[in-house]
Amino acid sequence: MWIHRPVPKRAAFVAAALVAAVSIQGAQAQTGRAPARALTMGDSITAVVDSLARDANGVAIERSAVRAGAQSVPAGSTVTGSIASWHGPLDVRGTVTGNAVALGGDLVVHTGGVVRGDAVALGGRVQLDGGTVGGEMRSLSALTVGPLARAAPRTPAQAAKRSVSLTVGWYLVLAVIGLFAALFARGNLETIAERIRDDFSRCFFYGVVGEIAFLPALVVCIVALCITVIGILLIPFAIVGFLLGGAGAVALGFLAMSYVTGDAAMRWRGAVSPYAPPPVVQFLFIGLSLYFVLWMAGSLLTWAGWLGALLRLVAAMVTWVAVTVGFGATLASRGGTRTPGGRVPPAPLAAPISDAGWETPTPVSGVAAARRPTPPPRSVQR
Amino acid sequence: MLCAGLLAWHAPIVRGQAWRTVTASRQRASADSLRVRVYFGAGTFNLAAATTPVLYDVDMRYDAGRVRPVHNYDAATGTLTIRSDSAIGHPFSLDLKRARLNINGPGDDRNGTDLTVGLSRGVPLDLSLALGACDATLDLSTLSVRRLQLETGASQTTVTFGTPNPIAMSSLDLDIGAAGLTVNSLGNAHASTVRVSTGVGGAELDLAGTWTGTMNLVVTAALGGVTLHVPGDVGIEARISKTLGNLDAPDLTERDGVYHSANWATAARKVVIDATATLAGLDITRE
Repeated sequence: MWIHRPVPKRAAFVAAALVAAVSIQGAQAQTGRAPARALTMGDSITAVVDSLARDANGVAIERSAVRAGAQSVPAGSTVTGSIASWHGPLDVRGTVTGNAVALGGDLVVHTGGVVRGDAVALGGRVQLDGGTVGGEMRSLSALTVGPLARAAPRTPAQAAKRSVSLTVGWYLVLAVIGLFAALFARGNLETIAERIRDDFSRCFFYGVVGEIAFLPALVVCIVALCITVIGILLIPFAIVGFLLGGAGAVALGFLAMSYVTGDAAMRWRGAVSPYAPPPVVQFLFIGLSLYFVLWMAGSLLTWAGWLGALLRLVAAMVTWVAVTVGFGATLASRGGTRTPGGRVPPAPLAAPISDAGWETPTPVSGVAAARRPTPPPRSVQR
Repeated sequence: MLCAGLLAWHAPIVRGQAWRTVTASRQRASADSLRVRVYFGAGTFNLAAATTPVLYDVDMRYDAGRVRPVHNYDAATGTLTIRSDSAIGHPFSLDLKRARLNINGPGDDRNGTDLTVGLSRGVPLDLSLALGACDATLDLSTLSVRRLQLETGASQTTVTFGTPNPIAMSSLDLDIGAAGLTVNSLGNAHASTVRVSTGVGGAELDLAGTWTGTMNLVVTAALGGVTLHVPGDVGIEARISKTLGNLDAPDLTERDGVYHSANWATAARKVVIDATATLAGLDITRE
């Protein structure tokens, strides 16, 4: 017997609020402006020098020119070539024939100081205090290229938030699509679901073949259009239509698979009435939610390292199987227009035809029906 | 859901924003002129006189994951080139080298990329600016501009000649795409010929300022509209070619296909307008 168990309104409200909060936080985390990664003492000088040389706004210096700590070029002295300080200021009062670079500090060119090359500060500022710089003065907040240029990785909490928001977002999108499918393509959905129930493994096989053949089929389609010459103009439309068709088939198939999953889950609980019509929307959402729970578990445990990765792997595999089976069933049923036996789904019953009203029901045991009256032959009429 | 899976799977390594700042300047030394080439994609672009006595001063703030700024100064030709190339495509890009998917929300490039260029006051400048989809403000006051070529895509651009240009401009070309252009005090530009071409966007030109003699203004408008604000003491002669376009110039009178203002014969300074309007409107108002 079908047991209707409505979701408590308060719980639904709390769930919706939670979903909204997670989504907003996820969005904020995405748009937040992460600061550039600053230089640290643990960075390799060689790596920094290499990255600085490859940076479009950087400068090339020799590794041997870098000295740790504050550096100074005294007045009256000359440095042949380049000089660089590592995590300390660089004060130039004398002459530098090459480039002057401060890595992780400020560079000051004082009165009487001359830098014939470029004056560059990475993670600091170049200040001109009466000196002369023959080249360019550049201040870079951080490196742009190389391994040290990458943004600081997300914290586990940020990664989890982002993952959860993505999962919730996709669930909501699929829920909306599913609602429309249940309302406007219910027949197709049920036919595809019937196909899945009828032959699960064959649908999976068809799905795999369909996924493999999708792109080659698109290429064949384009080539065929090219051959016709006139069809060349239709190629952009064909590509868009093909992709949309494929996406629609995948979505419809997955929704049908969700419907079957929800149906199976409710039958397992013994909550399905054999007499009442199947509540399509309810089954659909229950199935979608089951997949959603898998992903949500994986997302919430993003911080847990291999355990989260394992859960996401399981969720991905389960979802892929569901998508593949659904896609295969959609292909096999031609979008839900063919029932498992290759029959076209029966059309809605029409009103009885008046001239067949004379027929009597024919039992299996074989009672002969009355002969249909036919007009007499023309010869007799004459 | 499968896509969600892939995205969630990669979520921990999808690139975040990484903001950088680059400032670059150069002492003027013996430079006697400066050519500036700017190719700016999206964001906010400002150009004005430098606040310090340098040849140029470039300040750029950008997301290193989205923009690759490059600037280069060629001392031999005295040319400063600044580019802000997009680092990635839209809306999705697959970085095969790092095996990850980049997701770019709509309008992300407009989010915070700032380029400010300061230029030396006393140095003759040749400016060639190609702007994409940005908000641009060009304050050319106190600068010595010898040549200005401005091309915009979908930029909202404001150009101001706040003070008279100390040198004559050999050319002033403004090519506007799909957004708007406002030019303030164009009369201070000291240009004998000004060419303005507008696409879908519109342009508003204020001819106020100080100039003597005759200014030639060549306007080509397609689909958009051009509004000219002309000082009352300036004589106007306008030759208009219209194709499904319209002219709104109440103070001008037509004679033999040419429009003239009442003071055309007596005005000390004049503007000759040669306009082509295709599906566009041309308004000429007197200030």
